[in-house]
Amino acid sequence: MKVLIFFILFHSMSVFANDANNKEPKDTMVIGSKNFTESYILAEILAKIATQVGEAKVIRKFGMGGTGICYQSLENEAIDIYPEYTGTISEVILKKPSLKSWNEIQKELFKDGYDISSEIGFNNTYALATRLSYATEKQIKKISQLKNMKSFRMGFTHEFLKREDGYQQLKKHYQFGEHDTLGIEHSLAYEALNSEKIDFMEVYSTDAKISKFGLRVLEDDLNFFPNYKAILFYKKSFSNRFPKTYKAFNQYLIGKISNEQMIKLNSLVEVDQKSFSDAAFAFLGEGFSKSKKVKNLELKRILTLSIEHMKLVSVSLIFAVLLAVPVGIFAFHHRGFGQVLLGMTAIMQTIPSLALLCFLIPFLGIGNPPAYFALFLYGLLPIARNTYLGFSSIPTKLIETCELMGMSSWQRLCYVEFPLAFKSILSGVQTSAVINVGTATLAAFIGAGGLGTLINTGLALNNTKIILTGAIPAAFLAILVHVFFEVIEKRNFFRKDH
Amino acid sequence: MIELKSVSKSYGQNVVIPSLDLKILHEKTHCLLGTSGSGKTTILRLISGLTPLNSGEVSIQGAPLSNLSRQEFASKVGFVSQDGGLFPHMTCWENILLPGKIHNKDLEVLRSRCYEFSKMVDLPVSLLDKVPAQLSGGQRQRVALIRGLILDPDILLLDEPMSALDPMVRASLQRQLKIMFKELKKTVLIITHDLHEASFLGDVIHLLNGGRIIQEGSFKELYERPKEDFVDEFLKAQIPDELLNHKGSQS
Repeated sequence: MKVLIFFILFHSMSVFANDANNKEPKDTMVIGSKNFTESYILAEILAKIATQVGEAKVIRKFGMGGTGICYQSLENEAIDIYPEYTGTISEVILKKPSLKSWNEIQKELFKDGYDISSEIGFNNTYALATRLSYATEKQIKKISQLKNMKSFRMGFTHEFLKREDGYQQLKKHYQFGEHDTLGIEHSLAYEALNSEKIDFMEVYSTDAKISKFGLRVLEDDLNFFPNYKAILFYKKSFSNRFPKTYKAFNQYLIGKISNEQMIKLNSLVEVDQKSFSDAAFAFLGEGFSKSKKVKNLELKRILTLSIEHMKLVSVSLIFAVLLAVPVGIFAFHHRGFGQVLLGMTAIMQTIPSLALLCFLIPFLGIGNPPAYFALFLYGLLPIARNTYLGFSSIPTKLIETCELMGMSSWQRLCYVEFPLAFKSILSGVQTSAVINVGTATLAAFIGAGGLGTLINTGLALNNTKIILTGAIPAAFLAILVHVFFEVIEKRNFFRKDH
Repeated sequence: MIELKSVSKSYGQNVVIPSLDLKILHEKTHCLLGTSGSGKTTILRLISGLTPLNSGEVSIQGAPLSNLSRQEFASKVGFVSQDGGLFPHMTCWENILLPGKIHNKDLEVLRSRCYEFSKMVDLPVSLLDKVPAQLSGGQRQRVALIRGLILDPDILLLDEPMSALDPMVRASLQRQLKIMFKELKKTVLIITHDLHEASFLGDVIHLLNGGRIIQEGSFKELYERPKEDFVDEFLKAQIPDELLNHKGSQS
């Protein structure tokens, strides 16, 4: 009997669910990406395929700030899938650099409930590159040929020069002798190579600049550099939850992008200034229906993001004020325990913002909640501290006068203490607000939007113009916030002695 | 009116008041006179309950101080401190009416009382719309005085109320105070180190040294029949030579 009821219930529920399914996909698929061009493009391709399949509502959380945040988000199901590299998984996520092959890595991940797709095709690892003219002149195609060359100059990033698996090991591995090496910033190295100041530099093998500057990438014929094969990273359950999409990813993307193609797609965005969406369409071809393109006026977008930004700052600030002012007052009345509380808010301040956002993902996921919460925590110290200082600076004589007048502590707070401390409290709030306008740009790393989105994209594209479209409004907002509080202070409602 | 019975106070090993008996009489003006460190400020703090005493008893109008709530105390005792203790963020009007708000009094009654007092101390009412920082020292003390009296308490405590004023201002305020206290029939205790002020205002002077009352009585009594050498020394230090000579020739 019980079974029968259960069956009927279950059946009717599934019918109901199917009904809903006809109107809108019942599930949502959150696609993530890291904050560099290639990751954006791959994620955009995924999003387009998934939208075409229509099995789930697609949500884009692009430009997240690094492997840690992406992995945390995947673990906590804040995102469902994102493009990753085999080398990154073995070194950063599994922390087992000895795992090299796709099979080894997949097996290890599978134990923990994760899975990866087959290789997308390209390998985005370190490589040595040279000018095409130089390569032709000296007839070099492989790194092993360097051993027999007499003299050449190399420019490497400081990191590559110092890394365990960097230049020193490379030299040993390929047995070429001592040559001139120059420590140089990565983007400058391209110019140096182009203007014949150096002959070789290290590059990422799918870097758009390889095509822009017409470089030859030398073959790593003795397999020195680790593999960074692009794959898709998701939880085991992904293929069951989205079987059609999963199939479509395999059909349209997996094994389909070579190093040369990826360089081209990257350079479409970075050199030709096309959008990620355009690059994705360039790969997928005309077969994919282009959704009606909404011409988003740049100004309108900046405005929307600015509003989003101010919402992040103001909402978190209000809650910070609501907690920090009482904490400051409490600290003033109970010096011992109060100092402990102030110390705690100071500790919050020392946590690097990205790390804090990362810690919060297991509890709050990604997007707005952790961003609000982090900004709230960062807002506490200046407000609590200034409240405490404001109360401490009230002369004892005045407090005694209150007592002799027969005021209750609540009356003393309202009539005397708060009005006298108000200026100090306000300047604490001002400090918090201005700092948080800056800190809120980091919220984009965990998909909470705001002006950081533009800065993030600009950084990924190494496009100063886009960075500035985010940074200038942010700076402007900071000034606006500053002026706003100055005005409030000038019209101090609680004081007549101005 | 105010009575202290074998009151003592010490901070750790430092005995400030060994054992003190003091009576402040009804509708009289008493002056606690002494050098700094003589314990006069401590005595005032003990009476007002700002500092807890070690032993003994303080009573106000027959009621032990420890039984009085802050509210009850404030309705019986007005207070004026050395620098006035006015709240810098309020206008003088707000300062004066604040005790009324705290004690839920009819502000109109207080306002008319304020007009009356202003006249007595010769303070233009138009100044009351300003904040304390815009007033002179003498004007501020007058405002503080009005605030101290606004609830019409029977007792008024003044902690060196004129020490920060220049001599001319001080003299005129002293005259006004003397008249005011008598007219309003207040019981007054003034802390001062100024012999002239004490002799001018005080019906009774208590000369203090090392937390002990060395002698009490009118200025005349102290002057003519000093109980200890200290009394003589203290008076000599503040009386012009010619007056002292005058005393010498008398005796």
